[in-house]
Amino acid sequence: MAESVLILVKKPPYGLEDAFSALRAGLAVLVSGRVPVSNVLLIGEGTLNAVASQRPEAIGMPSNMEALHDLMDLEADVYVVREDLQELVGDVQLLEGVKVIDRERARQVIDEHDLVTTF
Amino acid sequence: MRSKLFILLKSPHDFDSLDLMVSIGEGAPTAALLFEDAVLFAANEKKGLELLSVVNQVYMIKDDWEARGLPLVMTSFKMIDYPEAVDLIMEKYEQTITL
Amino acid sequence: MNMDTNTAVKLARAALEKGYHVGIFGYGEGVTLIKEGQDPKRFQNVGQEVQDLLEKGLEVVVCETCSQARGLVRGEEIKGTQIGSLTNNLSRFVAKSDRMVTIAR
Repeated sequence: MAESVLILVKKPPYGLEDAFSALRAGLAVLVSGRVPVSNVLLIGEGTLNAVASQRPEAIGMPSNMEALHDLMDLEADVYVVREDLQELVGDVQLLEGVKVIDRERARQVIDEHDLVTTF
Repeated sequence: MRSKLFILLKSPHDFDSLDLMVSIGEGAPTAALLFEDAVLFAANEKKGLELLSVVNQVYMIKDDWEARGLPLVMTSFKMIDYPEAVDLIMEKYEQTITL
Repeated sequence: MNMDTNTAVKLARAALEKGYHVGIFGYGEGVTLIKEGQDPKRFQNVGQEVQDLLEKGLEVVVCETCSQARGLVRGEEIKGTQIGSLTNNLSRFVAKSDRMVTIAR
């Protein structure tokens, strides 16, 4: 029996459906009310899903920002690993409400969840 | 820290999460379980040693290894079958993380 | 076609044979797992394997939205499998699971 699930997102937005699918899965689990905790950890290129200035409409894709907002509205934690983002693109503005953490904290976050699924 | 079993499916050439495995696994008992193209880690000393340096133990699926017909370089990798893989997942390790 | 569904099904078989309850949730490309009439000629027939495992108690559900996106509709699934939803089905699998294994590249 699982009380918590962590959606670990490694994939960047838009080239693949994976990141969007990941966030929808996290959201659905939360909406179901069956699992009390469903959080998201954005890691590696997955951190790019939290960039504030995305314009997915430019390529007609559904918005990963909206999916993240929906999750945060339902009180899911959305974590972004600072070092990974820095290394990839330097300083960029992120969506309001995401929790910027370091790798050490990311390790703890993973450890705190019963189940981890990767996208 | 919960013990962690990392599931790998990609070949060493495509695998980009070694550093992630290091940071996630720090302080916990860890192992890697290789399926599909990930068994190619066992045929390459450089890649194999890199992997072995970040986890306590490496297991690989015997069928996937045998199918490829390669000389075994990483003799310390433990060859297992699917029932043994289930034991690792269900009993030996507390968390299963695909990377 | 990659071998992820083959791997998932082999792992499921081993777990079922050890007496565990096993559910597979097919997401994204994984929905093809339940399509009836698979005929991969020289490759292993995963659909056939699923059919065998259903009798051993395997539960297989795939995401409806992902299925629709790929033109897979109700009535085309292997009998005993289900086109379902993240909210109803994935969440139930997650809640009931002691372990979750992601087989995807």
